Amino acid sequence: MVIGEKRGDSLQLRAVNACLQLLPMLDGKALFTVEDLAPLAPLPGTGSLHPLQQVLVDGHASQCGFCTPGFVMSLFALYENTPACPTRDSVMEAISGNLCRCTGYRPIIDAMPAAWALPRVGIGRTAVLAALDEMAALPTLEYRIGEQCFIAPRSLAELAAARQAMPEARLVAGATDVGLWVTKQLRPIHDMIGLGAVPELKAIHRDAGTLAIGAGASLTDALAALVDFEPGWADIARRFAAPPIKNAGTLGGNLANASPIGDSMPGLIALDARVLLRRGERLRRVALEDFYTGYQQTALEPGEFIQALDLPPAPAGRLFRCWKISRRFDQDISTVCGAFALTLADGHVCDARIAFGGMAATPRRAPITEALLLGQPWKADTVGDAMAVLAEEFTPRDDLRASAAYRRHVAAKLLQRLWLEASGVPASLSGLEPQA
Amino acid sequence: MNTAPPPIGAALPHESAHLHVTGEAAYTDDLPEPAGTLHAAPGLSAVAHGRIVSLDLSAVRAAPGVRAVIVAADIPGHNNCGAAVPDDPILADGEVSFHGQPLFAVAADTREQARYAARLAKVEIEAWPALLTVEDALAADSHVLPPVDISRGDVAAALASAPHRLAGTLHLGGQEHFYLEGQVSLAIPQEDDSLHLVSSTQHPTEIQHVVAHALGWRMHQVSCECRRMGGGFGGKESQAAQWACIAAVLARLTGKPVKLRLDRDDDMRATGKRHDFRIEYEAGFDAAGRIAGLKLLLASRCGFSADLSGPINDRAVFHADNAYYLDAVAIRSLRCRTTPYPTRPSAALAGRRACSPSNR
Repeated sequence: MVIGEKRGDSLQLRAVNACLQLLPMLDGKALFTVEDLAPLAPLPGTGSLHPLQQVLVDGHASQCGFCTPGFVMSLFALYENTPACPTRDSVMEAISGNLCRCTGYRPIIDAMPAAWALPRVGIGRTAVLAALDEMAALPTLEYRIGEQCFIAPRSLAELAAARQAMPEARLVAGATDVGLWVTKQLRPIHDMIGLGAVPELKAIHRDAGTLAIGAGASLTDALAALVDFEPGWADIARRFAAPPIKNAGTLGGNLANASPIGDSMPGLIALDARVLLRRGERLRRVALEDFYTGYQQTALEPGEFIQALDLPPAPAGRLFRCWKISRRFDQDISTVCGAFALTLADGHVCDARIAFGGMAATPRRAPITEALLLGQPWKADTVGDAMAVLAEEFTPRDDLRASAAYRRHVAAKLLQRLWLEASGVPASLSGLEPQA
Repeated sequence: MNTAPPPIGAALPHESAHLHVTGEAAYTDDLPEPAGTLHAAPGLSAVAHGRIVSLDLSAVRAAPGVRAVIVAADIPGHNNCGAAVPDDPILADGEVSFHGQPLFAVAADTREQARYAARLAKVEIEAWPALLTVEDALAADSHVLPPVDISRGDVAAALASAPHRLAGTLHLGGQEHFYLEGQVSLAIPQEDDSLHLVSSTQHPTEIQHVVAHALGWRMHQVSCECRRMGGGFGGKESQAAQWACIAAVLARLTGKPVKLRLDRDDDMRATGKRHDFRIEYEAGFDAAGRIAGLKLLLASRCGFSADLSGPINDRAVFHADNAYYLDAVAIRSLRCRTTPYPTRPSAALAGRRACSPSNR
């Protein structure tokens, strides 16, 4: 489904997974489902279809049809959000969270340019914005069902007060993980504080070389800001998750979730990020690498929450890359996520911060490898020595995704990839042009 | 009179395409539920192979919303959902034969209540050694069906006299069918001891047949309908029956309509996958590449029950010569019994897979 929210004066439309949205999270938002598209057709009420629907029919893009409404909505979000016909790559990215088992993806991808060739239709944004304004004037949501309550503070101050008053309540931002606790684990979740209506939490500031990202900024927005701040984020930004997950999930959620395979943490630790924690009026900053105290454990105190994340300015000559290794390209959990931030001066390594996910119980730096690189000339021999050390620095687990030996091997190879890329050698498949 | 030219060669749209793209195409779970419909969930084994020592369902029965709980002994007719060979229990009886095998089933007022209750069972299973791979089964001489041999000419002589010889082993992996709509059945009691089933199945007649046997009824007492499926790929041919049988038994017991829509994780654990094959080949050929003789062993992992393993492996045998005429050929087909999960036909059965060795 597609969610509409007011951002500034305009309407932001984004696809999300319906099965991961808790009902009160939709409060104050516009909601579009597949049933809403045909009424936008050029001749509504006559059985005519939205251009996307029409071209999917004409292009034989459905067979069993079970996945079709999801594809329609992912394509619809892209259609509404782009001023010109999207590229094939952006169509592929837009549908990377949708699975088709029988039709095949080619006719679905082809639907976008075909729809663009038809007269353009669009939703009535003015009316939607007016309705959103009307809802915004309603009182703060307090939704109760049985003994359970869901409150959605409308400001940072309201949130800080609510968090102190209800320290046991579960903070819920995009519910991309909490939703699965409900649907898969049948875990009882008692009181919840929704973060989606706190505007300060969504703010992103770029100032004097620093970057500050509010904990409630969506992963879509946060990753775009990170790529803008440091282009070495590009691989992670593409492969973090499919757009519906990135649209719902937040950077703060990824950090607070404290998974050892969260994909934002290695890069952020390598860039020396700090989290800004708030409890009532009290603010404190903690280096992200110190924030994780154990497996899925953080330094958060009762009543405290993550308000924002800060990144210091980039030193001159910094080489930064962050890569995700997983069994599938799209929609997969990291086997290993590795981030490298090396500062080079006069051909020598004068600062090194290397961090990994998937190699330990928490996202963790590689201090032995860093120490070996420090002060050394940046050349193949140094990299080779460092790789040998890096391959032994962690004691990862054997699990379904990979063996410990594979993880150690890959971790070291990522350093080689860094060296090759820095030397101008294409070293990752996604960076290679297809051979004619 | 229709004077339009016949649409031969024209690209006609899918008859349901306009419904697919508008969300109006109704699948089994989209149909309005009759008032009072109960929802069912199975309790699955966490052990691949063993003896059920005790099955304490008191907490399941006491859970909120629970209206009925059934075990194998509550099935009024035949505890079998295997249509081809009657060796597939609907609910495990005494013995567990694969990881994820249904041990019992719950019907409750809501689907969440049923799923929650199903997790409250106290199950004790004495674990026995499990045969997990084709190689395990070959070593233990474990089969669901006897070997099949088919041959022509004198392969031994042809191989012995061929100028060149090539031998090797191939492994072809199994596969989850991954129908996007999971297994689902709605059983609606009708007048005078009869039942209407709406089932997402590739084989409604077989469902009718197997459900009637499970209930101890005649076939005319059961009807089955499937308007459309959200994918099947062979995974809803025989194995839609298990869920239809559970829903039907619970419906008969409670007198209420019962819907069983498997959770995706349970679906992947409890349902069979495509057969995986170990293929050993030995070929003799001349300098021009002409095959003088071919010896093949096709050994597949069939899981604990035969199901359609006979036809699937026969298809592999019949297609193994691909498009070639072989003067001297000997093919042996072994249908191995293992205990990880049952295996089921997948789209195109095994024909295409069996072509692999002869194309090498």
